[in-house]
This record gives sequence, structure tokens and C-alpha cells, in this order.
Amino acid sequence: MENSQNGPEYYSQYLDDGYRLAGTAFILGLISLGSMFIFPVFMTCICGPLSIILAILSKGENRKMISRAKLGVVFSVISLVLTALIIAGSVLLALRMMSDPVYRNELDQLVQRYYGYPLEELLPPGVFE
Amino acid sequence: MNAAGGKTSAELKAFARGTILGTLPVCIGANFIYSAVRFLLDNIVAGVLTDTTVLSFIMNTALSFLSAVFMGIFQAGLCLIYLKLVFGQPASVRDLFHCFRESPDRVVKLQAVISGLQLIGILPVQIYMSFFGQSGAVSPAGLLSMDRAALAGMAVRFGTLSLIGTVIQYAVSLFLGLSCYILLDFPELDTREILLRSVSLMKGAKRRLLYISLSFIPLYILGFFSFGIANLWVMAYEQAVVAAFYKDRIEAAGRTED
Repeated sequence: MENSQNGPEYYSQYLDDGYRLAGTAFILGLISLGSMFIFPVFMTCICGPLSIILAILSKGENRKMISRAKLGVVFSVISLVLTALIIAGSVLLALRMMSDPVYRNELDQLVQRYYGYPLEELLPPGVFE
Repeated sequence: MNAAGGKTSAELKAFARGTILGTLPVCIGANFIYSAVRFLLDNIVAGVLTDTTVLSFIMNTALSFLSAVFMGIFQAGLCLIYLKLVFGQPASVRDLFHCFRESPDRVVKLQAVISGLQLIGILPVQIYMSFFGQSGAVSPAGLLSMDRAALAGMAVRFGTLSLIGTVIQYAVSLFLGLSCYILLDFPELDTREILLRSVSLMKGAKRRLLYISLSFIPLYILGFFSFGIANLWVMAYEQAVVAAFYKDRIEAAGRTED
């Protein structure tokens, strides 16, 4: 396959594309961090990784990211770490609620109030044993 | 440059990033169509025959093989897009369907050989799971009723067979990984010549390609957390790197001939 030549116009376009992609990575990182307070976990899981990957691609042939892309990565990493902590905290809380009778009773009352069923009926058999 | 005279993995990645930077919509569009077709086909194949008879197993294996060959035509289209991009030529999403129009028989022959070899790798684990499935032990209830020693034995056998299958599949992809690009770049070659050329091009470069493909695992894991959406970009990046690797190898081969 023959190689085509790339002129100065191509280089200028190439820089524009890099800046645009870095801008997208920054905005996605910001959405990822902002959604921690509005719509946690789900939006962060979509926007965070996408922001990091776009930031990597925005480098083009350069070795370093531009500052906007770096900020996007920082925001995404912070939001992903916070999401991981939220998930881990939720799992730990659920486990504690299942093992501690006081917490379990509170949860049982909460579930009954919202769903009208006792907790044992909602969970698979053997969870509390 | 590395010891073998080719570009290093980092240099290839930088070149690939530069290549796809302005053409990401084309790459993502093509990857999306490819992934959607593959998802549909895989689900159709998995859902057609679900019972665990020997005839059903054979039919399922044959269907998987045929779907792999069919997807190979799309795969060749993807290779064409990235090949054009690394050689600085304009590419479009239409190129994904190029091999349906131009000499599909060559692509089918090549993909039949590659898919056949890869099938050999996964066949033992599929046979094991299929026969194990007949005893009902692969169902959650069956697994729960098994004692710990039997469960451990099953896990070891399954793990060993999966590992052997993965090694065979990786070996096939390392030796014949460039055959799709050769098929598109040299239309005059037949299937045997393409396979031989791929093996000869990969001489002394297999470790580099293995390193490249392994280095994308963290990005794929990251993409997995985004429900696979970000993997469309990771796929584009990886395919551009492999196309750049092919360009590098073919240029190195040209230098050697000179």
C-alpha cells in the first residue's frame, strides 16, 4: 500500500483534533465528578473510563498530555475511586446489617415501610443463617 | 528502535494515536457496526440450540465456526480501514463491507483456516463442559450439591483446558495475526502464501506483538466498567497499533530484501 504525504495543513488539523479530544476528556471527567452528587455510580462508570481513554488518545504522537486532558484524568480517577468506596461501603453495610440483629431489625422495618414485605421474603433463603 | 530493528511498542502506539486522531468517527462507527453484528450473531448462535445432546453440540460447534468465518469478512473490512489510515489514505465506514464486494472467497478461505485452528484450541473445553453439562452439574443447583473435592477437581480440569485453549488461540493469533493485512495488501497471493508470509513476517517479532496485545488488557478492564462503551475506543486504538505494527514489519522486510 502506498504511503500518502501529510502537509502542514494536516498538522494543524491534527493539533486541533488533539485539543478537541482533550476538551471532551476534560468535560467527561467533570461530568463524572459532578455526577457523584446527582447520579452516582452509573454516570461515573460510563464517563470516567471514557474520559481516561480519550485523554490517552488525545496525546496523539506526543508523549505528554495537554493540561486539559490531565485534569480530565484527575477528575475521572477521583470519581472512580469515590465510586469504588461507595460500592465497597454499601456492600460492607449490607453485610453488617445481615449479621447484626439491631441493624437487621432497622432494615426490616425500613423494607416493610417501603415495600410492605418483611426482609426475609425479599432475599433468597439462607441469607440470614 | 528496538534490538530487532523495528519500532518499539511505545513508538508504534504514538504513531497509531496520531493516525486515528482525526479519523475517530470512522473508526468508532466501524467498530460499533462490527460489535453490534458480532453481538447479534453470538446471541443467535448461543440461543439456537440449548439442549445438551451430541447432535446439538456438533450443530452448535458448526454454527460457531460459520459465524466466526462470517465475522472474519467484517474483520478484514476493519483491517482495511486501519491499513488505509496507517498508510495515510482516506478511509470510510463503507470499507467495513469492502470484502463482501471484492474477492470474498479469498477472505472466507483464509478465515476458515484461522477459525478452524482457533476452534481446535477451544474444542476440548467445550466438549468437557458439554459432557459435564449432561450430568446436570453445571447448573447452579448441581454445583451446590457437589462435594468440595469434586468441585475442586472440576475447576482444575476446566482451568487447565481453558489455559491450553487460550495458549493455542494466542499462538494462532501471533503466527497468523498479520494474515488479514497481507491478504488486503497483496491481492495476488493465495491462502497458503498469505499464511506462510504471515509466519515469516512474525519471525522475531512475536514477543513484541504479544506485549502489545497484553498491554491493552488494563484499558479493556477500564472499558469494561463503562459497560463496554469505552471499549469501542480501545478497540480502535489497539487495531491501529496492530496495523502500525504490520506497516513496520513490512517496511523492515523491504529493508532486508534491499
